Order: sequence, then structure tokens, then C-alpha cells
Amino acid sequence: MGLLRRPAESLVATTRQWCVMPELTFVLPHWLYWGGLILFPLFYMAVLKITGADKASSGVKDTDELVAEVMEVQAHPYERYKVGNAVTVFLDRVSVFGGSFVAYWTVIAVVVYFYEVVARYFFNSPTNWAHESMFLMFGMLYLMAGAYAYFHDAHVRVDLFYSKFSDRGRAAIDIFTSMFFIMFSLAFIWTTWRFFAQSMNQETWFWAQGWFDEVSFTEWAIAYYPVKFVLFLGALTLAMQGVSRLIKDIQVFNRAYDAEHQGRQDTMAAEVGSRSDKGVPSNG
Amino acid sequence: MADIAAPVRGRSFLPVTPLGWVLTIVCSVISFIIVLEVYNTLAFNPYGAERPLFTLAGTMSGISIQWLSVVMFGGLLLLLALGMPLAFVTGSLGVLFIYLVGDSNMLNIIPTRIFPLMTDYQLSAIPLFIFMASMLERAGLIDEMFDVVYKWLGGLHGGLAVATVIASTVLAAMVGVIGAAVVTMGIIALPAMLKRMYDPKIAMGSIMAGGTLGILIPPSILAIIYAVVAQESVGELYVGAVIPGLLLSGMYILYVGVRSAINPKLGPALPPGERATFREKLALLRQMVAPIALIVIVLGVIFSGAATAVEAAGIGSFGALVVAAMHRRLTWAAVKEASIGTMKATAMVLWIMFGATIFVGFYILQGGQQFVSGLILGLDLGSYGTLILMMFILVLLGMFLDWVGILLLAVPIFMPIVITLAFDGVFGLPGVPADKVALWFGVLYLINMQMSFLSPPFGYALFYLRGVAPKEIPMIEIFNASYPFLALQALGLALCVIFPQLVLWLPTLLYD
Repeated sequence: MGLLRRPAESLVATTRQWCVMPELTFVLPHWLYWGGLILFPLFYMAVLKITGADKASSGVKDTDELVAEVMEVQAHPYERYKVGNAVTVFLDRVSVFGGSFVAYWTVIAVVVYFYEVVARYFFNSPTNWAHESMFLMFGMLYLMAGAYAYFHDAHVRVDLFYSKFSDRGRAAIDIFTSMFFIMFSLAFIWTTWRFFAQSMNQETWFWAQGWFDEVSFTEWAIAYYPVKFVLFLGALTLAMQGVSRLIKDIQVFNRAYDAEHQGRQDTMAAEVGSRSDKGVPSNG
Repeated sequence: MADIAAPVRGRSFLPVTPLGWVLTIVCSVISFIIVLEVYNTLAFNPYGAERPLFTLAGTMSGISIQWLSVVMFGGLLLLLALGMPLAFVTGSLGVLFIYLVGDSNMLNIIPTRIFPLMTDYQLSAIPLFIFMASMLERAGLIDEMFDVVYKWLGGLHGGLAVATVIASTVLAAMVGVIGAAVVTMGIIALPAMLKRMYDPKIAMGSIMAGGTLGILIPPSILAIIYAVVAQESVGELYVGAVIPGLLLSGMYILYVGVRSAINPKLGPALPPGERATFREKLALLRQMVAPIALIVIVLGVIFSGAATAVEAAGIGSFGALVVAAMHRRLTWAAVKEASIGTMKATAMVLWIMFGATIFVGFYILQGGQQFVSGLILGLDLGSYGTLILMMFILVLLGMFLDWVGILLLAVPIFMPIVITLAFDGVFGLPGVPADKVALWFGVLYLINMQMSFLSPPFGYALFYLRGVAPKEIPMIEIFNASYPFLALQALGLALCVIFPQLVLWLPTLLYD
């Protein structure tokens, strides 16, 4: 082993010689793992609500926010044209809730990894669950975060030509490319559902196609099917967000036309009827 | 807000403009085909002889790999130019061609490729390192750091520019991406330098070049992804990137320092009245103890092999919470914002990987890898010529593709070619041992990506700086500011190619 390793190891060994440390034998029970994943975000959200911190800001921006602020020349067309209807509001809420829910899992990971390192180095008892529980959790986080990022238009695009178009042109392009997005989403939803269904026992669950409830091949033997279900859920919420964006793009397409061709008085008059505009809008 | 339009009441359902008509017709046709294929897929009986309806599945099954490459990458360029997010461009084209070349059952490679990727152990380091950086930023560390370095070096000619590079280097050891350093330094350091009559080219160049160090110096996010794709160890890659990173940083400092020493007008020293006293300097240093200790611990445990990169990221995040608490910035809201920001930034990176793994996975399955490798090796350029060609292609791709995208598209195809080549050294110098080629190529790739971030006309660093620089500075001056530093990066890359020991010495020392 390397040069630096020896002093570090001998230091730890000496520490162990002089102070007798109890061994930690705690193994995270499965119910606590799944329960924690569900309850911790809810707990954090409740605390935010009670302390009023969900409305407050920490006052300090991180660079992501700074970059967004700096690069954003004007408001997003969705905001400028005030698009949206009951359907998009619902779909967007699903995306935002799913994303924020999983976001708080990062805090769990910080605690678990800290525990793992302390247990290994100071109590000489590495866990058999910390790594596996965390990479499965992060896997679910990545999937559920997709729809949230799409809602905030955070997925990277090449806007070399795209940014040169008018609002209406961009909306038209987005409507066209959303056809490809739909192909991707449908295939993704369908295949991930089968992937999930095959990981459960068809004699117990009516939707299942497999022959046993799949668990990991490790000592901890955690069930795999919830993770695979979240894979499907991530595909589903992403597709829902895609539908929401498609509706909004069609509305931008129409309203940009209205803004260009109708006089202001038309626009003003229509403001009264704007709330009645639900369902799938027409093409301008 | 005159441009806000509300919907017009009582409009007809039919389109009114030619564009509207074209769009409606095209989308209706595509939707109809999609509905048809969904029916085909769901009703398709593998044991039945006949397909229920007309289907497009398998219509391209006999296509040669040449034509497949042309249509796949042509489609990629087209959809990218149309501004579709990269993650969905690659994902949807992957799905489309899998269906056209294979059949609906072949689509099942999607979850079987994504599941191992999403549950990859080493990738967990990405959200943790992003969280750590976000938490440190919320503790207000970055502003403080520039302040400290700048008070220490203000008395030198070009001191502020040198301070910028040093602060960026330290920042790079906390943050694994480039936007962070360029934007914050652009906001803090650029006005400070311009106010003191620094040459704008030196000022902006040092900010941009310093900022790009973030993807080379550990904990770089890009290095984690490279390690996962190339099946390398993250720790080894981090160790390998240390000397090249410090080399580049040193070259920037040398360049700025020498130019200002020759011509003090480029970077005048602070007037003696504004300089900090030694006592003040020491007091300032105290603020930096915690963050520096954090960096030392995180990198120390990775380099000593005491913990994996993921565990180090976990410890680092814990430490960042402690540092934030020490600065009295650890609030419920701050942790919420850091978590949400981390989730969003992670989604951007991971979904590009998910999309690209479908696209590239299918392309490699169809023999694309052999095709490209035949094409490149057929040029008969020798191993170093091939390497230069690849570097050139990477810089070219870097001009319009996202960094994660390039990695996922190019590395799985280039990697098998690179490891078959023998790098015996140039000019009689020692070469690269065969088992270290992947590591060496990884570090070269990271340096290369820095160049693509800095190269006009589309480098990200240039646009980040454009966003924060005063409006009077024309874009062309930002471009001009980047050239000397781009040349330094090219020099650094060349040094690492000619003297592979710059990359390999430290990993060999620590890990073998």
C-alpha cells in the first residue's frame, strides 16, 4: 500500500490499543430504511412550514442561482404569457412535489456516511448497509429529479440557434420536438413498468410478471422492487411534465400570435375570459 | 409589461397561420404513427405470425453501420440545433432507432442500461460534492476567500490577478464545476481589478482560466463520471489530476506575474495606504482555517486511501454543515435551498447520462465501436497521431455539446481504441505503461475539456463572464482575453502528453 496509508493506519491502530471501543453492531432494519425515506422529507417539509422557512430565503445565493440570474436576460415565455391551466397546474405540482420530496434525502446521506466512517474508523465495525442503502436512495433521487429539473427548464440545451428565434418560433420548435420526447417517454414508461413487474412475484401481486420478489444479493438483502418502481415513477412524472410543457407551448404559440396581431383592446377584453380557457387549446 | 397577452375568447379550433397549419399537420401525422405503434407493441404476440397492423418496427434492420452512423449523428445534430434538451435528444433518438432497426422487445435495453447506472456506487459522490459546495457557498466562504488572498497579495504588481488565480484554485478544490468560480470571481474580483486600473484582458483571462480549473482539480464532477464510464478508480483519477492542475495554476500565476512585472501598468500594485498590515493579514487568515482544514481532510482521506471518494464527499458535506454553523448560516431554509439546488444540478448531469447510455449503448451494439475504431486506425497515424486526432475531435465536440454529453458519447467509443495503442514515449522519453493508459487518457481528457470551456466562440466560461462583466466590454475583448490562457492550457496538455510522469507519478506513489 501507499506511503500515506501507513501512518494513518498505525494511528488508528494505536488509538484502538489504548482505548477499548465497543463494536457497533447496528444494522439498519428494512422498515426503518423505507420508513425514513418516506417520513424524513415529510418531517422536513412540516418543519419548514411551521417555522415559516419555506417562504423565507437564506439570503445567500449559491452560484447556481447566481448563474441563472446572470444568464437570464428576460423572464421565461411561460411567465411572460402567463400560460397554464388547471391541468398544467396539477402536473407541475406533481413534478415539484416529487423533486422536493427526494431532495431532502441528501441530508440523510450526509448523516449515514458520517456514521459509516465513524463506525469503521473509531469502532472498527464497518456496516453492511450504509453504501447499498445510499446508492439505491440516490438512484431513486436521480429519477425523481428529472421532472423537477424539466419544470425549471434546467436540462441543458444547445441554444445557439434556438435563442435566435421569436417566442412563437421557439414554441413551434418545442411542439415539434415534443413529438420525439413523447416517443422517448412512452418507451421509457412501458419498458420500466415491465422491468418493475418482472421483479415481483406474480402469485402474490396481480400486476407482477416475475416469479419471486427480487432482493439484492448482499447480506443486507434489501428489496429491489421499490427502487424499480421509482424508476417507473420517474419515467411517468417526466412524461407528465412533458405533457404540461406541451400544453404551455401551444398556449405560448397562440398567445404570441395574439400579441402580434390583435390590438391591445382585444387583449384587455379577453383578460376577463382568460380563466375559462381550459382543455387543449387550438393552434394559432 | 406590454408584451403579456391573454388568450382571445372564442377563437376557432383550426389554425390560422401557415406555420400553424404545417405544425398541426406534421404533429398529427407523427402522433398518428405513435398511436399506431403503441397499439402494435401492446397487441403484438411474439408467437403469432402476423403483426396486427402496418408497422415501422424493423424497417431499417438491414442498414449498414456507415449509414446508421450518418442518420444517428445527423439526427443528433438536427435535434440539438432545434434546442431540444440533450438528455432527451439522445434518449429519443436511441428509442427511435432501436425501434426502427430492431423491434419493440429490443427497447428493454433501456431499463437494463439505466438501472446499473443509477445504482452505481461511485456516482453517489456527485450529489454529495455538489451539496458540500452549495453549503460552503451559502456560508459565504467564497467572498471571504478572495478577500483574504487579495489582502495578502495586494501589494504586489499583478497581485489581484494572482490572488484571483489562487482563490480560484482553492475554490476548485471545493467545487467540482466551472460556472461557480467564473461567476463569483467575475462578480467579486473583476470590479476590484478594473477599479484599480488593471488591464481588462489580464483581469478577465485570469478569472476565466482560474474558473476552468474546477473540472480538473479534485473533487471534479467530470472526473467521477469519467471514472464510472471508463471503469477506473475515482481516487486514482483525482490523484492523477493534482499535479497537472497545480501545473496549470502555476503557469497562469507565472504568466500574470511576469507580464505585470515587465509592465506594471497591466496590474498596478495597491497604493501603500490601502495595503493590509501584517496583523490584519494574520487575523484574516483565521477565517480560512475551517474551510482549508475541510479541503485537506476531504482530499487527504481520498489520497491516503482511508476512505472512498463517496465517503469523503459525505464527510465533506458534514464538514460543510459544521462550517456553515460556525458562520451562523446553518438554517432550515439554507439546508432546504442547498438540497433543492443539489437535486436539480444532479438531475441535469444524470439525465444526460441516462439518455446518452441508451443512444451509445445501441450504437455500440450495432457495431459502431468497431466502425469508428476502423475509421480512426485506418488513417494509420501512429499512437500519438491518433491521440492528437482524438483530442482535436473532443475540442470540436466541446464547442457545441455539453461536457457530460461529450464524455458519454465519445469516451465509450474512444476508450477501447486508446487502450489498444502503445504509447512508448516521444523524443526518447519514458512512455506510458499499458495498465495506466486509461488513467493518463482520463487526465488528458479533463485538461482538454478545460480548453473547450475557454475556447471562443462558444466556450461556457466566456459566456458566464459575459453575464457578469460590465456591458462596456465588448465580447471580442473577452475572446481576446482567453487566447493567452488557452495557449497555456495547450502547453500544459502538451507537457502531460510528452511527460506522462506528470500525471502518473503521484498515483503510482500512493496506490501501487
